[in-house]
Amino acid sequence: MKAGPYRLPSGGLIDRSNALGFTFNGRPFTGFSGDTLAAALLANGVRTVSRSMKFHRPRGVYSCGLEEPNALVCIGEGAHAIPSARATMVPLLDGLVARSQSGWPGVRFDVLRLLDVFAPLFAAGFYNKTFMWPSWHWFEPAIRRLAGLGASPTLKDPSRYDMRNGHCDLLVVGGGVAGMSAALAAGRRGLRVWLVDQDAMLGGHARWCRGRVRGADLRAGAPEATLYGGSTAGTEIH
Amino acid sequence: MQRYSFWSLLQHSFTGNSGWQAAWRNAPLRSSYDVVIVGGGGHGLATAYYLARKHGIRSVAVLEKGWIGGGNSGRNTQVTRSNYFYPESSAFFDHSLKLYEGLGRELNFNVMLSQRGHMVLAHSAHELDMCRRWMNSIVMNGVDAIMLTPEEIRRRVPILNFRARYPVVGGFIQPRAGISRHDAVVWGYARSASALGVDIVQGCEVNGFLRSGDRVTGLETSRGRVSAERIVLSVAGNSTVLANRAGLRLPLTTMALQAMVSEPVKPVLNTLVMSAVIHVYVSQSDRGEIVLGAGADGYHSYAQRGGVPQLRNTVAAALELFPCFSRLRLMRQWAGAVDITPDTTPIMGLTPVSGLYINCGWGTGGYKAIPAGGDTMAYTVAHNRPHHLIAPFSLERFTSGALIDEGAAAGVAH
Amino acid sequence: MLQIECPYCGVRDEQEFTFGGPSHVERPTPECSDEVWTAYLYFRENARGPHAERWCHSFGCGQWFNAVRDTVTHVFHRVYAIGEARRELEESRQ
Repeated sequence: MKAGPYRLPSGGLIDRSNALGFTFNGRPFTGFSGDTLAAALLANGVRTVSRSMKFHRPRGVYSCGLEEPNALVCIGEGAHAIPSARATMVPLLDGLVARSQSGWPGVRFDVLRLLDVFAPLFAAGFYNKTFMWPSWHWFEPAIRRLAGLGASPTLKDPSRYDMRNGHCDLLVVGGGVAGMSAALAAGRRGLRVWLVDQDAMLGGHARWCRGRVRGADLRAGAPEATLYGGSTAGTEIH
Repeated sequence: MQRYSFWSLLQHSFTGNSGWQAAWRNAPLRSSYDVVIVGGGGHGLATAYYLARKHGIRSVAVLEKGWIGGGNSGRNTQVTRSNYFYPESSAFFDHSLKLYEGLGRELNFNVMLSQRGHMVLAHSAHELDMCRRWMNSIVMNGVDAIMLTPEEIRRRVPILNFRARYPVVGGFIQPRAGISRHDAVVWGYARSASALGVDIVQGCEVNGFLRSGDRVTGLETSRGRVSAERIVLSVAGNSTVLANRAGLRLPLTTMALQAMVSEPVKPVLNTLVMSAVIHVYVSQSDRGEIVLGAGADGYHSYAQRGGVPQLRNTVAAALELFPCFSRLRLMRQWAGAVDITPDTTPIMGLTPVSGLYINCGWGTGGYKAIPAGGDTMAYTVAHNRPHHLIAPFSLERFTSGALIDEGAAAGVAH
Repeated sequence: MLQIECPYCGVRDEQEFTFGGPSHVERPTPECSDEVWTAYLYFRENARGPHAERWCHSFGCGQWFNAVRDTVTHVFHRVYAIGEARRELEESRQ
């Protein structure tokens, strides 16, 4: 199975026996279960993922988490579209359809990069210093089309959502080593604990560091029940 | 005043944009002025501008305890309209809208007025009747409004949910209404006022009033004492606090009014849509954000932040009207401290305290009134008598009973 | 989400309550002047800081009670029964 020119042959948190197909801007690629969309794109050598807002400079994946400013892509289509999803937070699924949100005719060649030539003209607040005559209406449609990141779906959202009211004695925000330790210590004292993390698995940075913590190799994504060898009864993990 | 234009942008681009002058002077507080305006929001700055521009009174200071436009002028949803029920309100707000229509050119600052229409939805036969009544009143007052059938509404707003819990059966629109850029209005007035000689003093909080008998003669501020023959209070949610220090009582309630925006998206909504029953109004800013607003949080607050229950109500109402926005993320949420009067009409003009003028009580609708508020208050201060447009908005109406209850009349307070 | 302490039910979410305006508004006699009547109808304290107000636990026990809440911090300093007189708040409470 073609792994992608930048894919390491071993290591990491992915399952190389489980290949997944996805498309990006209509082109088919392959990734592995456990990849984020960003990881799969990088493995396949996709470097330009979006364009900067004002001057349409090429942008690629910049980070590996929630703080990603560049790799905002549209996941899905039609009523199922999710605009401006951070590719670093999207778990790769088989059949995933992803598209860039900027660049015309495409993100790899964008005619509007021409704006960069005129960058000095677009000083801070330039739109307050011009576009007054004959009236703002003459310029507004074009400016509005240049603004905005993703496109909103225009069909009713087919998904249904639920809301849950939770009650706990201790809420631990952050499931890295410190958070897990705190949750465990509190759980041992009989507190009802909620442990929440922004990512799909616990461990935080420990997922990438070498070595072991108290005998548990967190890079293997150790199941929560064997966390530190202790029990997590009474602890909810989200 | 350095002129703004495409050509000046071009010229400055050749010098690395290093030649731009500061848009307004951060003036030190002098010891005395003819007029001191307390409150550096849109109304206060506009008052200063018109005093200098139309009445030749340039010994004016605008005192702002924070930064200009940091209060409700920086926290609104930019609604710019004049579709009010009563003749007194119509006359005032349409004067304001007409000033907005020429404001960008007058101030040489693009306020980005986008007259994309303000649409009011009706969800029952009864509500449709009320809309007709309201619309007729608007037209009789000489302001533009047209009734809309559901088909016409669907053509203008195709993403609207017509089968909401309360279906859309019609409505009306004021075509000349729309949105504008709230920061630009504040900065535009500040720049022109400053260029005309008005001192804008930020970081200057008023702690007390200097009095002589039954008249005010000056102010104690955090930057020192300043004397003035005429003082204007233009401080919105803090009006009660300042008025108390001057021995003036006002019939105000200060509450938090929230607003919120989604992540910026490509153009998808080209009109401002409001529903009284579903209780939300929705528009899309020129930056692409979906802008939501609804009613105040319902209990007294000076905190300038709202609570989660009203935030949830607002989003739920918006999604009832626009279910396609469900997958968008809320990007930013904030609140202002709005001063609400018993009849949802402002209080403007002279006060029982000689030399003290008041401009307050705008509640949830002060932004659209900024140009007319400044213009009429400037006249009032210059002539020491109320401008005819604001005579009905005097403090005396609460004693005489001549209330102008827009909230009751139109079913919508601002 | 405000947490409000109902004197009868304990601390509950603000969504269970209805705000009932300022407390201790005294209704004047019918012979009063227009100014006094105007003040009664329209003029309120609108305090920036500790504010005495009424709340009803509408979706709970249904009882009304008084509270002193800071209108800047939203901190509830005290709840007390309808009919009790307002007591002044110590400054050190901040």
